[in-house]
Amino acid sequence: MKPNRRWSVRIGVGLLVFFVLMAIAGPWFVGNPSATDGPLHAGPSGGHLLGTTNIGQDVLSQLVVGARGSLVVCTIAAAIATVLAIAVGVTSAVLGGVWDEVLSLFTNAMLVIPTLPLVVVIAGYMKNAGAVVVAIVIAATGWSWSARILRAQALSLRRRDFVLAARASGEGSFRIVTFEVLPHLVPLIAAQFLGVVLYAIMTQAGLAFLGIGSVTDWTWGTMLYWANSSQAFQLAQWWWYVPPGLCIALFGTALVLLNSAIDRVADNRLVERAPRRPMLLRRRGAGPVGAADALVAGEEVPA
Amino acid sequence: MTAGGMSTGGMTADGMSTGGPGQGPALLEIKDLTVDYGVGPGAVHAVDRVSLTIRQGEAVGLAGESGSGKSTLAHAVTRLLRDPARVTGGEVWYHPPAASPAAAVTAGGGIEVLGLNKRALRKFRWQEVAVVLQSAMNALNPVLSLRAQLTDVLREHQPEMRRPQRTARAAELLETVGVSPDRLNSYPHELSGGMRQRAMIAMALALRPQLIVMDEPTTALDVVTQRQILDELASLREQFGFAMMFITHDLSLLLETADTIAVMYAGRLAECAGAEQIYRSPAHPYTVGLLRSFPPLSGPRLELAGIPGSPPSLRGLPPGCPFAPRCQHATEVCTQTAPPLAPPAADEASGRLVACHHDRITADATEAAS
Amino acid sequence: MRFFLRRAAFYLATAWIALTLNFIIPRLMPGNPVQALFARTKQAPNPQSEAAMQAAFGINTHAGVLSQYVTYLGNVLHGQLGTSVSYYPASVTSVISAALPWTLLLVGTATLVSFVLGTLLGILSAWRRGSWVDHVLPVTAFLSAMPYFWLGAVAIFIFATKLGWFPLSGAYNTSIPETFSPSFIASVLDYGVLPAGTIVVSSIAGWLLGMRNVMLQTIPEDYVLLATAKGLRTRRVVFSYAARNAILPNLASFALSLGFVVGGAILTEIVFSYPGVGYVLFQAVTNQDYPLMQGLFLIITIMVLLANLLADVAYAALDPRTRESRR
Repeated sequence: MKPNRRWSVRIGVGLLVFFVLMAIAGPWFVGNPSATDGPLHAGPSGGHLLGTTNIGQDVLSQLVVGARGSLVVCTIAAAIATVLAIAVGVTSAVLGGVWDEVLSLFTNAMLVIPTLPLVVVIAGYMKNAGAVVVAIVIAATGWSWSARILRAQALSLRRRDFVLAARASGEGSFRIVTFEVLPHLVPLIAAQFLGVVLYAIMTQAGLAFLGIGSVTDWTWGTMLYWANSSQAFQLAQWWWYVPPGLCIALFGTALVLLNSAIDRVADNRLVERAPRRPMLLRRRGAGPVGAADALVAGEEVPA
Repeated sequence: MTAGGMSTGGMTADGMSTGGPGQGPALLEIKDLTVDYGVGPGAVHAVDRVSLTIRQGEAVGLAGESGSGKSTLAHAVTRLLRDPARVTGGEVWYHPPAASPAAAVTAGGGIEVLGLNKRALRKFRWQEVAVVLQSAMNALNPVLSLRAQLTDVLREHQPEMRRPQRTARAAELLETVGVSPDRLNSYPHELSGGMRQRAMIAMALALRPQLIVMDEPTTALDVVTQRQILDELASLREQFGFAMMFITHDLSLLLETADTIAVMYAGRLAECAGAEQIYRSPAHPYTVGLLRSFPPLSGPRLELAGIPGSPPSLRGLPPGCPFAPRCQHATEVCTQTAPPLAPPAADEASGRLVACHHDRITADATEAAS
Repeated sequence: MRFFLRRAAFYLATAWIALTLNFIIPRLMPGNPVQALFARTKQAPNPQSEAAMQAAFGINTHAGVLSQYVTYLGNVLHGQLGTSVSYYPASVTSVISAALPWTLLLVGTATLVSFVLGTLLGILSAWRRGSWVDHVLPVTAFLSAMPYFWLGAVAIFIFATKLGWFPLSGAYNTSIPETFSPSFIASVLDYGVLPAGTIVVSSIAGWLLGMRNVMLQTIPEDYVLLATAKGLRTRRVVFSYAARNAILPNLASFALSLGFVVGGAILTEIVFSYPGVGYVLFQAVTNQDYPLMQGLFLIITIMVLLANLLADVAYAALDPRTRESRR
């Protein structure tokens, strides 16, 4: 890997680990994010490293607890979406025919329909929706891109020799999908998973910002919601809204970097390695020399 | 192809046909050209001090396996090399005949192609030397119509032409190669393989160049179409008199199409002689091997032999002759000193060249004498 | 032509799916918000509001679901999207039509500028191959991961609050009358710079990288080499040969990403209190104005589908291989 790319991967992994640790272990180290005992909209200080909100809550606590909230939601959402994508995409490719047409049409339609308004319409009906519900809603709108990619890859795999061989030996479709096709798709699925996590975090932030979902659950998005409602943007209370946005952006960056790294691995794996040929038929190049070799190997030499 | 002296056609005293390589004024002189991939001590010489001359109206065939450097040579000469390939030595001299536009500018001297500046190079391109690439499907712009691709050269090089004239000219060019002019508005994907290749040839002829470099022009076609295209090329050459550098791995094609054949191996010239000479008396053991690799259509049944071993990796070539590891006539001197490209000892006046310590002509002559 | 028809058919099918989703979703929600809403607005004893509710949701307690569906579809096709709850008694259609032009102006312009600029920069960066972009990869990843609205907030902070170059929010100076006078237009431009700039900066990295990647694969192609061999000017080689082919996949992905772009733009409007459909959507959610929310979803979707169709037409115009039936 070129040195710049190596660094990109390191930065990506570093950031990811940082945020995961923050989400898992962080909340034990900070105070209650909802406690309103601090000074009102104060800038960063010794007691409150990232300042306070307009009702005296500690921004740092919110940020750390929010990390857990955000990551939990987007991981669940990505998991559900990926399962959906595999189910629809791979099945569609393996079944073929009318099923493929119908599922593809549905996938493409969901792809084109703008997701944020759709999510708003769905989630907007639910007052104070919990994290899991929000995750489900996000997953329900974010699976189509992955489904399309997985379907395309599964289609090309379907025509490969080993699948045809499995079919010929009588393996059922379900077994083929699970044991023959899926293992080859693992790197691609991993890359798609990361992509959906990115989509999920952006969407969740957007939703929370709009006030959808429970506004008392702490996530980076809800922090921005409260900041916006209290005119923090206009009042230049940067310590309130810069950190959560920055976290979202950095977390997203990590995902993008890792994604491109995995993409490269996935590409390499999917390039078919030429099977080893018997020695004599090796070097079956064009031209007199290669042709001669083939002749020598395959045919009797006239006396 | 001469090495200083004039060659004579016909037979020499002991009955060997010379079928001399081309005569006439030189058109393109390649002198000691070296093309490297990469820099420094690890650099690979894809083309290693190759010298070759193409005469006006001559058809020179360049034969060799993949990796022999023939395509690289062609790209270098037309300044179409891409990173990481670079010319690291030698010169390419172009001597425009009196009739060509370039002659007016150079006042008798030659043009050193590798030293041309950008503007002069643009003028030189296509007007003097045109190119036909291997796969027309890849070499034609998929989103432009044939008309657009034929006329944009005209628009660039002959700006005084008006649009209807350009279109008429394009139609004329298509007719010349046997494609109907109502295909002008077609796109490449709407044409058959043979038509596309013909269109490429028509494009090459657009400015009546002096030399057309053809890189495996028929390899991607079926045998029937291949034959048609070759025949057309022959008649086009008669009609327009352009010189041709025909690159292929298929030596049998060259035997009928080319006047002179140059055989390359591992980036170097192994042999260079008239087509007839190569056919009747190949000098380099590699050429002998190539000729024995395909069956003749007529004549006694022969035992086919390939050439044992595989083409060398250009990285870390041992000293001496690059073909030595595979050559049944190799001796100690072959593994130590690279043989110079020179006329065979037994036939110095023939005008042909071979790079071998034990070339077959000399070897046979010595045997006959003993 | 067949290509165009096939695409149009697809978009019609998609629009139908969107409509159906709009119909189904409220009925699937726990607590049946539709009925609750219906009960709420029934407090205003107004037969028109009942009719409006029926139009928005196809509610008709006397009819079965299927006939409600049919009524609903019919209403939508007649442009009857119901009455807004928060802007009562204005109809949903009128609320949206007031906001839509602003969004088209802002989002449309910004997205086009971003795409064109990004593409041009991508072409340039690919043609003059330095590896500076490789160094810059983490930064561009950062930029593309940044939520639009957050960037907008930062922009407000720097340019409006601190530097005072641009106004904080709104679409124009409300003291100027809404006519096409130069001062009004100037004001619109003045207020539009920050929000548009936000959208452009957030999205340009994507187009740049995308175009650059495809160009890097296109430039080594034989036909580009041949174009150089023909002695054509560099500009023609780059644009008519390389870029004209490289842009095709990007145009396709542009169409696909429109949904996402719209989402981001909506949120940007909110940050800037820009009176487009995004801002109205925000109000609708806050006020639980379901008819408005649904109407917005429909209209936004239709706009995106239309934009997709335009992109498809552009694609077909540029790529002659799509113009005939598939082999």
